[in-house]
Amino acid sequence: MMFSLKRVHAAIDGKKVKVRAGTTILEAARQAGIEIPTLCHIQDHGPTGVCRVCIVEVEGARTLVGSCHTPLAEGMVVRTNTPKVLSVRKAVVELMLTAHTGTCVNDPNADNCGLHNLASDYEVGAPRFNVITPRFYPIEDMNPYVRRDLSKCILCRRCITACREIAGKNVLTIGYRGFDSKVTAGYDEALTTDECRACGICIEYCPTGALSRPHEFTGIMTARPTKGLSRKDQTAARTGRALLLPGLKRELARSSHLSREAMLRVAGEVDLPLCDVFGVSSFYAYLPRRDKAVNRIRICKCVPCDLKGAPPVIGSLKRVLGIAPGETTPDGKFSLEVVSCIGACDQAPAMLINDDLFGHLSPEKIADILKTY
Amino acid sequence: MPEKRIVLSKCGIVDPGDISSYLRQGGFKAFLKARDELTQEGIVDEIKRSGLTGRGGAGFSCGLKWELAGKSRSKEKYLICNADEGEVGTFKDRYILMHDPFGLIEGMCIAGLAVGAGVGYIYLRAEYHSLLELLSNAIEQVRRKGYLKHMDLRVFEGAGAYICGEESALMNSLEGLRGESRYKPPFPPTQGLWEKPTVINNVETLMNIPHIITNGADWFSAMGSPRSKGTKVFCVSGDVARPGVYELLMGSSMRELVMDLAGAQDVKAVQIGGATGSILPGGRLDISLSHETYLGSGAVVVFNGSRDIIDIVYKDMLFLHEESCGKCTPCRDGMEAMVEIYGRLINGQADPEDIRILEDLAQTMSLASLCGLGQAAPVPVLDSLKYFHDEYDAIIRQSVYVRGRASVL
Repeated sequence: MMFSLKRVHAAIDGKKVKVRAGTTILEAARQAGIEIPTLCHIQDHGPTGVCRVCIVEVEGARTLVGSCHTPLAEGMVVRTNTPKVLSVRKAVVELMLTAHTGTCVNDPNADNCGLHNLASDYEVGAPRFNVITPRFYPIEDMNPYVRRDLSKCILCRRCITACREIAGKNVLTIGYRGFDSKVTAGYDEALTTDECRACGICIEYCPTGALSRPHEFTGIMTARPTKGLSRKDQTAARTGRALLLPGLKRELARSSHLSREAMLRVAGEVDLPLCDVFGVSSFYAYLPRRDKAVNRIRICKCVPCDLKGAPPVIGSLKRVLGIAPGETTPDGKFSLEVVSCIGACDQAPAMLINDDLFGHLSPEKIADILKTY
Repeated sequence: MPEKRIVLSKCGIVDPGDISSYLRQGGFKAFLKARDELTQEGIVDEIKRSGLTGRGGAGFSCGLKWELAGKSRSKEKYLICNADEGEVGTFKDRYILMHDPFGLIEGMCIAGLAVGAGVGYIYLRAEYHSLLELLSNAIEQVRRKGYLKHMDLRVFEGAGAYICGEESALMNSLEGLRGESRYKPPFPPTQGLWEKPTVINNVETLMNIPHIITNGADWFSAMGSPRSKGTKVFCVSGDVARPGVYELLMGSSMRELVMDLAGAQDVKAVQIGGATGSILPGGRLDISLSHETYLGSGAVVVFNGSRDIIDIVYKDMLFLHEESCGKCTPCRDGMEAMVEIYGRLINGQADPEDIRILEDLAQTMSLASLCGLGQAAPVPVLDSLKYFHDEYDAIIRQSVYVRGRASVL
């Protein structure tokens, strides 16, 4: 961001503030001695804006805004602790608590947990939003440098920022999407020891107990600060990354699924680490990693298709193919996926076989359609 | 009032595979007028005065976007056509691209002139892969005619993510990143693709451009309602006799669309704008369709008297749960909680307390989420609670009764 000499005037909790244009609400509040809680934010690093703990009320705004990423604007009237802000912030903390499996009742390190402390500050009681199936992962402790208990992870991404921007490495990324999001390494595999040797910077920045030092480890971990990319390198990185999705698609056309080897090939072509390629590709529904089916059947389950009888058609597909959604026939000829809207609601119920669209389906038509493949 | 076809005027008339048939219908006259007779500011001014608004759902002034990006002195600017329609119940872009790709390209050619964009992208959703060849072929024909000298126009294919219809997620995807939403500001016209000034317009928005340039801003702004000018393409599906795309003047009534045109009967409810859209009871069909009232992307799904509203909302939530990018807490973890509550409702295991929790959760998600998906996800929940509260009451009563009996036995 360019430094500006322009100043903006605003009010935070009734206090008049004057800051350099481009200053975020969070920075301005801190300068004025007003504390706003944060979890994902790392001082002096670009905002991530994911945890939503630092939300505040801005007069005239439709929603609450994240103070870590919203610049203070001229004349803005900000309130950081209205009943609305406090109740929504508390609910956000509750959601984080309920979504992870980590139990910290008997954990001696719980006092060091940022989430645990926020929960005490906001007097979070018995769980309101009770998620019955929270994220759960077995503890990963093969690595001599970092022990990962991802059930305690709140997906704040501080470890990723620390790894990339402070240690200058590229070991961690976010993989998958939605509720299944996970901090992944490589092709979602255990941390490789080599790159993490003598580092452990991610542990320092983890606000919860998700990352910790293995008990046996006694060595000293030092991380060196990274130098930013030169302008030329930035352009090269940009060009490479822009070729990532097309590269993955090319690979997919050749082998019908994206194996570790395939991703490694693409990673080499576009000059990105494997973890990054995995993180991007696992986000998208049409970049399959496992099954190698020749023909991919994708049937829509959304409301318009559902109304018009998608469930019995899916039943018919299951019967004729002898497989459940998410599976591939033993001969590898067909795979079956139940997917989100495919934009053929006027022909509901509808499905795609590879790129061919079939609309106005009925259970009786399925066998005949499949015969043509 | 019958249909008013402007955006769709050439659909079914021109051959989508042959530019000469488009040219015979007056195609690219608007582009030539814009290029040879109007200045960059002149084009922007015309679009601004026309009152054209974004047709993707947000309804922001198209001219204002163009002006912001157009004024920037950056040497690198981008134009993006958002053809990633993934909103449940929306299929208008597929219809348009299939029948009139040249209309879209002409709109983009003009937009490129107005904004000063050197590169234009059409972000096509992966589900529409079969249209890729048609579209690429159309672009090639336009290029050979010499109408694309000012802009390199490319098609970029998505990879299956609803959230990429959100403009900032779309740009991330184009850059080769995960299709996660960015926080705003900055907005695309100042810092968009690769942090350069970028204009992102919906397919339907761009289809309007040649018509406005040909007929003038006044012609366009004379149609519609005070804040919604021109026409809107609607996609009607669900319990109707004639599902399909219909183009009507802005401000037309819902009754006309679903009953008269699409042939619905016994309407219990309609949902407007996809899985995050409002749900209105059949008794309110006299509302007009515009930015002032209800519009969204123009998807209208009709439910007849036999449908279970709670089940419909549950399926909307399942869709949004699957399509949440997972970046921010309220949407990622809130959708999971939401789906679990609806699961309990459907399976007869809900508590009276669940309704209050549903409301708290809805408020948290709409106020604290990073982007439109999480912010709008609770809309059908709140609407159904408002208009169909008795269905929730009944299901709760039944759950409590069943569990009470189970505990006695």
